[in-house]
Amino acid sequence: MSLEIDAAETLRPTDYRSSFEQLITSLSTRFINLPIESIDEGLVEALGRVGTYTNVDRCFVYRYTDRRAKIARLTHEWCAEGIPNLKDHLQDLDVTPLSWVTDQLANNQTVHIPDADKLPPEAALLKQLFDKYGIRSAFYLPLFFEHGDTGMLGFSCVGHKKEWSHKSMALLKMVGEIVVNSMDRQNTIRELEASRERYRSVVEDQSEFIARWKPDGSQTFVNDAVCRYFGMTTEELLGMNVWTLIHPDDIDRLKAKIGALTADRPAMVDEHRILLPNGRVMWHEWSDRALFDCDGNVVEIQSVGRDITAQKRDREELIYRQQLESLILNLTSRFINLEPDELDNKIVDALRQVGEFVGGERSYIYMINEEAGQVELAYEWLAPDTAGPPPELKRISFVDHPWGMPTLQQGHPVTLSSLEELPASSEALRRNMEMIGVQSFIVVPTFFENRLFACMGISSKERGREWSKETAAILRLLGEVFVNALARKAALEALAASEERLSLTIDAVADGFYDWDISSGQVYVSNNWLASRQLPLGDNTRDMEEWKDSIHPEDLVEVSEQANEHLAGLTSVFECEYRVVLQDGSERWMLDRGRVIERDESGAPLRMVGIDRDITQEVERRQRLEEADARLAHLARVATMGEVVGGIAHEVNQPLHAAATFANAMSTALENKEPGYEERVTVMGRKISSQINRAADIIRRLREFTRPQPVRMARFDLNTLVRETAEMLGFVSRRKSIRVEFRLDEFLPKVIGDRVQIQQVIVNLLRNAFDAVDASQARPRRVCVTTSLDQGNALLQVVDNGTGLPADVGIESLFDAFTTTKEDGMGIGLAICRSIISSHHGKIYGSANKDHGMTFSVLLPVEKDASHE
Amino acid sequence: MNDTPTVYIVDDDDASRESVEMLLAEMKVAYQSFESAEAFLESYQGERPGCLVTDVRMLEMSGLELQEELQRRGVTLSVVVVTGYADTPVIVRAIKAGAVTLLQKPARNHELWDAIREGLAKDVENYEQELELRELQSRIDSLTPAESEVLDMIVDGIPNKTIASRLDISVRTVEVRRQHVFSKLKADSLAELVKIVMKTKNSS
Repeated sequence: MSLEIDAAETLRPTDYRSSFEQLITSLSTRFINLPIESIDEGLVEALGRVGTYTNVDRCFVYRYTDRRAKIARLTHEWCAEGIPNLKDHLQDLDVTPLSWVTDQLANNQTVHIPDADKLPPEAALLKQLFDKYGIRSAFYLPLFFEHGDTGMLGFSCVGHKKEWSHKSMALLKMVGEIVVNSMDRQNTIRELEASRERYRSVVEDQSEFIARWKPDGSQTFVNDAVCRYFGMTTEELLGMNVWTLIHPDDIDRLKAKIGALTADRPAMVDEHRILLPNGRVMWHEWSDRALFDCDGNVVEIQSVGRDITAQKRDREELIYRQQLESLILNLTSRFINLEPDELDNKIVDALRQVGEFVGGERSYIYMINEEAGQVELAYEWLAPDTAGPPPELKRISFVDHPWGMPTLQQGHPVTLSSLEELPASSEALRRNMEMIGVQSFIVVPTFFENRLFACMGISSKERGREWSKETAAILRLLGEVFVNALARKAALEALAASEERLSLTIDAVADGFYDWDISSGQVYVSNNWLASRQLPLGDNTRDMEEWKDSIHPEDLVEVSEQANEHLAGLTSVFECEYRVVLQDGSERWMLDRGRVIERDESGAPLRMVGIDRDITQEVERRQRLEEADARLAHLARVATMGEVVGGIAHEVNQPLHAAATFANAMSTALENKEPGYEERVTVMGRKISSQINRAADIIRRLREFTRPQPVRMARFDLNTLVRETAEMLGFVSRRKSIRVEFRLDEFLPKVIGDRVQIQQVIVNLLRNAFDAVDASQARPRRVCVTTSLDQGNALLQVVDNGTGLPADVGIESLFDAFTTTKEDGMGIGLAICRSIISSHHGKIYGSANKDHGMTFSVLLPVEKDASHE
Repeated sequence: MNDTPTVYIVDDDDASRESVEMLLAEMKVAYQSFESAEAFLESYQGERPGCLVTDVRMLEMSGLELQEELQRRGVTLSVVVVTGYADTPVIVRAIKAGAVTLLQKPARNHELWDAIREGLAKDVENYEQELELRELQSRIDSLTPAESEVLDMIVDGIPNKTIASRLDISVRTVEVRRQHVFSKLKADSLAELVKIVMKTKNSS
């Protein structure tokens, strides 16, 4: 706004006065028309005009904010250009020290200070203030507001002195009136508005309902709030019975509570539902107070009530949220530590919870069977007294009932508020639904590995039911949980199966399983491992040193060598038989098979697992078996020899005969004493002793061969053994006129084994070869024995050109006991050979020759140091 | 007989062979050694007299087989077979083959030498007989068929007259042929003539 008053500093005194009066009049009328919100602004403007007009530097209004007029608040201020305002420094001014001024003002006196320097001593503090702000002259006049409030209108000059005339003072007093009036008016309007506000809140926003009614339910009074709330007139409401307004489910309870009121306890508070004419159900809280007659009968009930639907909804919402939360927690947590076999029950229970929570009669999971082109009911919960689905609904072909499938495929829930929404093509579906009383349902898809996997659904008898997003969300969650649980079930089952397999394997195949963390030296061992070493169960983490200490000292070197070789990556598997010494001092044989399963970048072993088997019984059995084998071998040897003991004797006779002939020649030479006989006799003597030795050797070998004796592993020369054995069997080959040829590798390293046992193998192979050659008519009759080095092993081969193998006999079966191709054979020869060779960690096998006859081969380990030759 | 008897040693056992060689050397008997029957057969041309010393069991051809082979070739050389085991089949076979001596190993004292000496003596004897027989046979072989015809009848004791009528020739012709037979066979008497004929008949 602007006050269109021209400044008139240059006017003459008469003009000045008249124009000042005009100014004041103008101000006065102007202020009356000012709207309340413009009054403050108008006041400052007015002060400015007056200040300019009277040539002062400041015009201002102080108003005391307390009744005792101690604190003055600067409410309006105008300052001339270049003059600092007071608002920043003296907004709330404690006027106590300025009593020289305030006292005069309180007495309705103006205070005129034309020259600050002439202030009386009592006004020393004012003088300080003036000096501080450079004020040279001032004029103050009191303001008296409505309700006894007081204030001050002040004018001051900075830098120059001014003396106010009486006339000016009178006019300024009028300005003071205007200020007071306008400020009072401002106050009044403000108060009025506050009052209106209060009224509105009391009257217009009143939501408290007040009603009075009789025990029969007829109403005698309702307030406007009730009318407004129900949207009915007072008359309409009074014509209605209270009970018709109350939700039927709450009537009995409320009646009972009202009936229970007594004169001593006449009041009660109840929450119940109210039916609105539009059918909506609202929650109300009513305080009912019964009025009794002198007989104690209820004559009237006064009720004050309010709508708490919103709060109730909030509360219900909160409860719902809490329940939802708990449901979700329940759904998810129950599946966490679930054994796979519990899954089915838990899922049905989850369906029950969801069904009960959401409110439906049936909740279910259908699995998608894409191959069959149908959905199949997998899990189902039915509310009590609810009919299950007919068979037609247990398998629903989505080929025949494509309705909803595209939506589900896209991952969206399918909801149906009423069966009418179903298209005509789904008539059969609709009939089936109708049959079990389903009116609405919601189905939510669940995906697994990007394929529609299952559908979770809830159906309801309720018609027109709107399914919320939350329900869809819960079903989705259920679906997630379900899929996770199924996936987990599958995983657990797979794990269990694999664990079972492992444990079965460990239990069945070996006694102890171990897992050695090589860097830490810690070994995790299974209970079986502990049991096999008579250690207490439970302490499954052991120290490798402890293990080493338990190994029999005689075996430790071997074990360490083998282990180090494996750790160094030289062997693919660590396999070692050794003894461990248990705490009670007894010894057990262990077969340890292990493998490094983890190495670092440099190939250093990190982890090794293995199986440690107690083979004590096996070893004992093996030893017994070896003993038995040895006995059997002996028997076989004796049998072999017994058969031809005469022949062997002939073999002895051969050198003996030569010796006898030499002796005959010698005696002749001695008798005839022909020249040079002495020399010849000496030669003959040597020949004789050589033949005697030859005979003795044959006898010794024969004895060795036929005498039962323990297994003696030693290094020996295979070629020598071959020659000796062939010689021992010379009687056989000679009798059968078979030439035995030798092709022996003279650089063959020594083999390791039991000489007698290996000899038995050679005897068997030679005899078989002789028999085979003898049975054939092939000429020349020949058996060839070869030795050679084959991939680090000694290879012995006996090649015959005999009859070969009958067509109906497999080569391998030859090695089975009691298999024989000879009419008089025992069928144990090759079986014993195999047993002997395998106990030597060797190999024996037969093969048919290209032309005729067979070759039997024996591989035997050779002395290690020489194996590189 | 001018030939020195020779001992033929056939044995695949070096020691056996050598021992026999040494023995024969001491006995101052000539000998030849062979490692196998085959080697012997290849070298031997039927020289007499002599004695074959061999073993029953030998690679390739055995001692008995060798003897049989010699018989097949008509060689009546003395044979000493040494065997480590004189089991029945061997003995039967040896007897059938007409081996001179079957000696069991190891031989005692001078058994082997005795057998060899005996074999040699026998062979000298046999060889003389064989030579005589061969002489007699050649005399018989020198007769003409007509003379042989007459000889057969003379040996059968048929008188000249009867011979002449059977052959439808004159008695005179019979007498002439009879004189030729006596002369060609160098027989002085009828008894001698019969003896010669019997000898040759037995050996064939």
